Amino acid sequence: MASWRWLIPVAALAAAGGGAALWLTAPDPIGADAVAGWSPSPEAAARGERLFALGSCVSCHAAPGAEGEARLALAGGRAFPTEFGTFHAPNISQDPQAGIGGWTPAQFASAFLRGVGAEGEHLYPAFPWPSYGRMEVADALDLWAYLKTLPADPTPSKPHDVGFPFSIRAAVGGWKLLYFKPEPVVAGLSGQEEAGRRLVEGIGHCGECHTPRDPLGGPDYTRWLAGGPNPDGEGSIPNITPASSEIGGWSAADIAYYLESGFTPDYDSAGGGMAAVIEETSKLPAEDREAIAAYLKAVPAVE
Amino acid sequence: MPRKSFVIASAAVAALAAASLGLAHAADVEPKIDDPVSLRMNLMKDAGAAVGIMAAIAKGEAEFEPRAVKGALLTLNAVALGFPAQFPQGATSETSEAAPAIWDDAAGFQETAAKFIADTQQAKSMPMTNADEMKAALGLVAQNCKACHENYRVKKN
Repeated sequence: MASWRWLIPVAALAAAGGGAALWLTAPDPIGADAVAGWSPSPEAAARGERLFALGSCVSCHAAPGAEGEARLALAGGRAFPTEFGTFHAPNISQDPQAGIGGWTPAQFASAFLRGVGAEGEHLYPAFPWPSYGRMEVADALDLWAYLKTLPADPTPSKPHDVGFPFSIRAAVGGWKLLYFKPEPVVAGLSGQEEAGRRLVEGIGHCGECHTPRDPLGGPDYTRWLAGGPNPDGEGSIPNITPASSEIGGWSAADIAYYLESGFTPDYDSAGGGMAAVIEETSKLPAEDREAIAAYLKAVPAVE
Repeated sequence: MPRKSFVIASAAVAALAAASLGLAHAADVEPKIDDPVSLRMNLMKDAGAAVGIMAAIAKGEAEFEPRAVKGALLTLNAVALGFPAQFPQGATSETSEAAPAIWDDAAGFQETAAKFIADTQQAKSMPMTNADEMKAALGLVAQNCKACHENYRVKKN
């Protein structure tokens, strides 16, 4: 990938006038008033635990090689090599120094829904906040209540290794302007399909892998869930729209069974990154898997 | 019979045949004795079909039948025993979904394959008198599908 392409939005923003550009691309955190009076409750934590499974948070944030309960320490460290550099999943445990245990509810909601870090900096979209941004403040707080019940781990986060010009965090502001679309991708749904939309477009962040990206790393919304090259470098990510050569012929029940068991209608089994996803979706209530299946049947068919 | 309608009917049959062949082509690979890629692809298809027999019973779509289940478990054991030898160094192809890790991490692949053998050995000897006992055996065997595919299989379309 030609790294100069990054200069296009950077140069465009510079040309648009420094002041206006800075205003348009400034971090936009959740204000303290949006979470005023909130405190964690067991009910909120229980709702958050479901979101935690739906988002498969451990898949990225568990320390590499951690097994069982140790995965819940969320010590981070997994490397994500991309064409823009290597990102490292941070420690999001409750350790106040190494992790995020010292964050306020507003700081967590800002990171989760708006991609704004505790210092007010833009967060890289390797963390799938562009999907989580379609969720509600209440969802973020539920998740925060659950994270509060998990252990602290003192392992320091590894810094990202990202090249210029993306190493300038302000450039992420330009990216947000171009690609952050917190409104529904597929509008006008209702009932089970809408319930599935919330899961797939939001917490499930399925589009982060299943929607192809353009040269700036932004999702191509015209090819929503239509698959593409695997960002991990090997093989490809399947199209999961109704036009998919792979799953287009599956019934909604077939899709729900796949998310439960990892088995396709031919009893081939999920592999690669999807194996970790199935590990979490297998734990969900059946109605969540059925909602996801209903949504996937309702999205626009993309060849 | 007017010649024209015969031709149309023949063409329709041919088109149907071509359509079903097209589907078959996507799914089936001819096994060739000197091509380990083709042999292992067929072994995996057989393993999937064997799992399918038991999954249909587990889902309540088919009735429990001990001899059918035993046959499926024996098939999975036979696949486990024969499968590891079908990955000689460099045996890959355009359509093969074998991950480079099979050869780069040969020890890990061996360990994963050995567990598949051990679990299918155990499963074929487990008591098999009802669907619940079958589910226990199926669970033991099926975890191996995920374990191997997670690290040693690359999805291609």
